[in-house]
Amino acid sequence: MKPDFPAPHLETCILSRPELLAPVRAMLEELAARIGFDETACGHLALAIDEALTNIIRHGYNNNPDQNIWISAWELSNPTGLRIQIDDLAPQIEVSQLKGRDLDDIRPGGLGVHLIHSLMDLVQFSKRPGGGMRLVVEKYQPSKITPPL
Amino acid sequence: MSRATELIVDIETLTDGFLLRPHGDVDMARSPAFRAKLTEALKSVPARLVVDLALVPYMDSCGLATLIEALQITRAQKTKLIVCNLSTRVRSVFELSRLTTVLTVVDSHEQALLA
Repeated sequence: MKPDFPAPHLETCILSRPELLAPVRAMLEELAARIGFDETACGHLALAIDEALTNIIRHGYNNNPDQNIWISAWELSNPTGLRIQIDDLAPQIEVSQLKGRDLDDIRPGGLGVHLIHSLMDLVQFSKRPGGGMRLVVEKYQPSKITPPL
Repeated sequence: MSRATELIVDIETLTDGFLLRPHGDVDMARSPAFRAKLTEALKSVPARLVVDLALVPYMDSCGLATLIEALQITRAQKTKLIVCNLSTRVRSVFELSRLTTVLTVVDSHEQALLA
């Protein structure tokens, strides 16, 4: 299976194993840094992707360690930034179910989706046409957003 | 347990409890080990449990959930839970999750012993 969007600058497939989160974070942080994101933004991007992958492993694949997750990344030019797409073959759910919990309700769990929305400029969950779920996130460099004419 | 999932945690005995100092990232892979150490330290119902995060450069929502679980235990058994020495990055995750409103978070080890 390949993502639909053509020619990613970076494309990888990992197994649904928690021990692979750290290398993915390192890879995406490095990519973001080379594009020009500052250290804080690189950290935010890595955390958002970590949260997305954690949700897929735990809820999508129910901790089965041998399923596939595809990660694709594109450098964006206008606005300058990074687009990341994450595809899985987990059972499809309604996008409306993917909501962060109320932060005033302090309990373990349910923070991941809230963090993704807080940290990224664009967040789009969808059902993949061929099965599974897709998440597309984008993060822009604030100083490089081209103002409208 | 592999290096990716193990978490080294120094445990220091205080006059009224324990200080735990985990080393390294606390994410989905390592939060079970973090939870085990916290649970073990809370078993003896100490008056104080300090979690020093000086050596934790990264924490995700799994790490936060583990601390919330510990908070629930400490509230039930009247243990004082204090978290200290957050890096800028970890503090930002605490603030985004509003954990700073429910957990006692202080800047230093010394402040944690007095809180």
